[in-house]
Amino acid sequence: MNDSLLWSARAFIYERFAATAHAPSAADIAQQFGLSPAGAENLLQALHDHHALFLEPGTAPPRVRMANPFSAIATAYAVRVAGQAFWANCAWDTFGIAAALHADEAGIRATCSATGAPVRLRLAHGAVESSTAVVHFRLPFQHWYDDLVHT
Amino acid sequence: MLVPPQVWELSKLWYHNRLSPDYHGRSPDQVADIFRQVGLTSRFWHLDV
Repeated sequence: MNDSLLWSARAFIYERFAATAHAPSAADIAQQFGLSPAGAENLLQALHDHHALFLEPGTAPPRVRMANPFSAIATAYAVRVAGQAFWANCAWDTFGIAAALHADEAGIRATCSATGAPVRLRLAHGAVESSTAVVHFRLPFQHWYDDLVHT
Repeated sequence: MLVPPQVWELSKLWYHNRLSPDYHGRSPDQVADIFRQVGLTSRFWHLDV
């Protein structure tokens, strides 16, 4: 696998997420880089194997499920930055989206996984507004990639 | 458990360059350094390799 192509594809996927809140498809990637469908699929698998993104298991052609902090599917963690709505993979990634976009302002809406209660947080002028919420990390860091969906 | 301001500080260190074409992942030492900067030094945050 051509390293330059690999990382260019990674950058393209992240640019698309940042611009549209959606991941490009394998066909989009094939078109962008002049690849065959199989070439694009191999590229996505290589990025998954590098932990550069995470593919939705069992999909053919492969689909991007996560390019942290972005989620390609609806989750309990929503972030709004500059009028664009994003889905995050977890509580950390809600802040991660704001950080990745270099945003000083963001609105976060989440659901507490323990109680089901809504959680609202705001980032204003680069700081988190006061909140009684906490973020609970269930698994030690070294086990996060054992099952990224579960984590 | 972390409070939101801690998670925000961690997120800025972790994700600030995620959209950069030059970001190719990070080494275990770089990961440990980020956690250390935010005060996350317990075994929970260790990456044993």
